[in-house]
Formats: sequence, C-alpha cells, structure tokens
Amino acid sequence: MIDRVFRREDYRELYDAAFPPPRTPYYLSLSPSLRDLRYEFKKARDAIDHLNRLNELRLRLYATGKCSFSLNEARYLDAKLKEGKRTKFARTNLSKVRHARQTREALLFVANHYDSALLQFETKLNQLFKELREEAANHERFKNLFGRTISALAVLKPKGLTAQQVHEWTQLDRIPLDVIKPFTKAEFKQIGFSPRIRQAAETTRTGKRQSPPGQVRKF
Amino acid sequence: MPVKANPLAIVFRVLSGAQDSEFKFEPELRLFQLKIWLLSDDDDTRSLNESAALFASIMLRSRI
Repeated sequence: MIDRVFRREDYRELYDAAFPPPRTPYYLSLSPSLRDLRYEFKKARDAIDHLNRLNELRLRLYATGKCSFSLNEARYLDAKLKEGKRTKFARTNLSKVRHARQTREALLFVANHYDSALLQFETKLNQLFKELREEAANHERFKNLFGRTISALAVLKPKGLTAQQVHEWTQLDRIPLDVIKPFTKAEFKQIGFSPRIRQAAETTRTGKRQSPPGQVRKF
Repeated sequence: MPVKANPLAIVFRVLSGAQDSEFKFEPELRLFQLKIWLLSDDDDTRSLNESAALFASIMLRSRI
C-alpha cells in the first residue's frame, strides 16, 4: 500500500532524498514534534540575538575602517554600550554559543536585518506545506539573502562557510549591507571607546621562503 | 573515491534558483532544512539530515 502511495503521489524521490541508504530504524522511527522544535528555538533566541548584536558591531567597526573588528573588540564595545550591565554571555559562554553557530552566523545576521520571517518558526502543521511552497517559490528573496550573506561572510570569516563557497553554489555576487553604518569619532567619544588599530596581517610562511614556491632545491 | 557533496550546497543552490529541483517536493524540503539549520545549534550535516527526515515524515504521515 505504501509503495502505491509513494508512486501515485510522487513521494518516492522525497523519501529517497530524506532517508538515504543505509536506512536505519532510527531514521524510520523518528516521531517528530514541531512543537518541541518551536520550544527549542524559542530558548535559543537570546543566544542568537546576542551573537547578531556582536556581529553587527564587528561589521560596523569594519566599515569604520582601520580599526580592529575582532569578536573581542566587539565584546568590549558592547560592554561599553551597555554601561557595565552584566550579560549572561560571559566569555566562556559566548564561545560555546558562537562555536555552535559559527557556520550560520553570517546568514543569521542578514536574516535578522533583512528577512526576519526566516527566523520565525511558528508554522502550524496544517499550513506548513502551503507556506513552504509559497516561500520557496520566491527565488529573488533568497538571491537577496544569499548575496548579502556573501558580504557578511567576507568580513566575519567564520569557520565552516566562506563567501567563495556561497558564490560558487549560488552564482551570485555580493550585495552591500546597507544597514551597516560606520562609527563616527563623536560616537566613539560619547561611548568612551578607543578603537584599537587593526594589526597588519602576519607574515606568511610563503613570504619567509628562501626560494620561490615550486623551485626545486638543489642539494 | 567520489567526493561527498556538501549538503548545505544543495539547499543554497535550489533556493537561489541556481539549480533546478530534481523532484516534486524539493524546494519545500530545502526551505524547511534551511529554517531548521539556521535556528538549531547542531552539527551542520546532522541538522540537515534530521530535518529532511522530519519533513518527509510529516509529508508521508499527512498522506498515508
């Protein structure tokens, strides 16, 4: 009976894509609950918001030019902006939050600023398919999202995902992040923050080579 | 030995329109995977595989 349903309603390919061989009983016995997922994502929201806030500061520092835009610098600036108010994301906790979401951080930032609907997970089961079908048909929406993600990735440089990869996958060019405004000197003064000058890149091993790459050393 | 494709690449390709869908419900599947991957803090491959299984389960249960 299941085979007949698969054939008639074009589910066979979906089934094959979702349950690739070896099809273990674990996957076949998944009894998913969208409600559990919604609860989990609601709990993660604070961590995502904090990460987005730091990434916004990093991108603004980068746009300001000549200053360091490291995560530590953004943390320090964030603390200044909050005037010493404690955050539950201390250095260790923040590392965990960031490490778990490193591949996603650029897209999380872009979605938060340009397409917050993507970060909502309020879908009801009976409307799920219809909503997904309508949203997925809008390629322009995703082109804009991914084009901006390329711009964010070029600065944030997280582990696991690069601007070059997204460019190759989507064939898109970067779209500028127009929500990012550089800091002014007056703003820094008002906050009481002195940006560190960005250090020059370290000399690479290639730069230290005695002979040009590819040249065979004669013994 | 064949190189294993990055599962995230298919999601980006299909949703941006850079690659045509290969089966009827693929765009919906890829969007569902993207949403769950984006909000979860699991390992990338695990998150994408499990959300695909979840989507297929929901679809099949609603039809059978």
